[in-house]
Amino acid sequence: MEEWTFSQTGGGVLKGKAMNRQDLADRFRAGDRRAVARIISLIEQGDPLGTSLLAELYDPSKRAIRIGLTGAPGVGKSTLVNSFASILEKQKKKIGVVAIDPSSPFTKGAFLGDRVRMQDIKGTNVFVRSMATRGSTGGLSWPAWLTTAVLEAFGFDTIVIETVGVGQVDVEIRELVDTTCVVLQPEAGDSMQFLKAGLMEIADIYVVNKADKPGTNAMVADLKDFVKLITVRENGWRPPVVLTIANTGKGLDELIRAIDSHKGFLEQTKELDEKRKARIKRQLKQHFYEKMENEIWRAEWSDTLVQAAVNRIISGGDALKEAEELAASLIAGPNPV
Amino acid sequence: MAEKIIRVLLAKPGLDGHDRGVRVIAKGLRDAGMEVIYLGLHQTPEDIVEAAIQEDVDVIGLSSLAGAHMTIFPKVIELLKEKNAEDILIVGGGIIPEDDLKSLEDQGVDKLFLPGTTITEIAEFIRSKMDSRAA
Repeated sequence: MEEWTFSQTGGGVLKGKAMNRQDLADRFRAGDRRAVARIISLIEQGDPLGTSLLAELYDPSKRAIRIGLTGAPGVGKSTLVNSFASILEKQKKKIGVVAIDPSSPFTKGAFLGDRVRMQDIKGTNVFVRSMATRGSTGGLSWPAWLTTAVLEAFGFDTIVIETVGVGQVDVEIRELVDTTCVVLQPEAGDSMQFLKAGLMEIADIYVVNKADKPGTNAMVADLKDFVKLITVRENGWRPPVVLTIANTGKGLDELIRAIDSHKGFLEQTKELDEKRKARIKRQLKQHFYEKMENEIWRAEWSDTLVQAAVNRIISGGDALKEAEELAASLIAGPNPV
Repeated sequence: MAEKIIRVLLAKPGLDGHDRGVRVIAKGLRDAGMEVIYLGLHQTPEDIVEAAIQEDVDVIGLSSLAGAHMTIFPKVIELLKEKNAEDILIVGGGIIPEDDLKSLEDQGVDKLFLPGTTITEIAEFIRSKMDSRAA
């Protein structure tokens, strides 16, 4: 990528005006960041132009290292991204950041506040996109998956994905990234929490942030004990425990070393390729679900069938039988022979 | 197909450190169904414009309570023009003397909201501008 500034040659991609597909593709290839931003918006809005541009611009030779940061709200994920990306930026890396915050289930509005913590990464080699979950659960959203692919196609060499503040079962991030960092903070429970399935199982690296707070030593001792005794992943990787103080940058070098060494491990064990295969499979499946949702479930012809089934169940019909028959009719499509 | 949700960037430009007002606006616009990206305090015009482009926002809202509006607001507009992004709606609010209102609006600020404005008015203004654009 030679061009990282905006192309100044007229014909803007303006909102509300007809958008030229070719113009967007050309600008994207020329390194125009407004084109990237716009393609992400199209994808987010579910505009087929967005996904079709991604398909056109996708380049399998461009591969980014994908790093995920996940953890409960307020543990310091955004501040870690800030410190992490600013170090990488100094190493002349090109970094894409996808930062996700929750949408309101009531109004669909969202407060996307991750940038407040990202005051040190305003250089031209970092691109930050804040996204709302827009109804998704699991810590990510489908558009976040596609956005990661857009950033990869644009030529970022490192992509950092920050999930929403998650709970114990929000583990989707592990499928999207190569290295999952689970961020914890002192006083976040005792060793019983480490035994719980879900979030604590997906860490390739445990990060204990705010490691200057009281309770750090006890927690880290417990966590290291737990890792040493129990946590060897089936591939043989033993997740390290890294202590950080994100707002001062302390521990970040160690975190970067841990991420590098995990990447080395994935390459050595060929697991990087396995992860990519799993990712592609997952994306195909999701694409299928999206099609089912949009082209079948929300279609007018299917709504008629669904309503009829609902009415029959209400007036005493056999719910299971109706469900089976409805499923068969929906799979058969709008004009069964 | 998912719907278009209005994306708004809110920022406190310059050395002004008072952000209670802008946080109230952020919550209000969120409740009006918009996605609000808050940049925080002490933002330069360059920071604001770059973030607006990366986030592909529809609206930039600048809050100024410390008297730098005549310097900073026009600079943001100038940079947006430079980046070919003057289609983004610019609104502002805070302590802005009446004499400055017209001058700023002449320079390209779409609307300034003074103390006493309700959040509903702000949200409705933004929505009506977006609707007229989409039409």
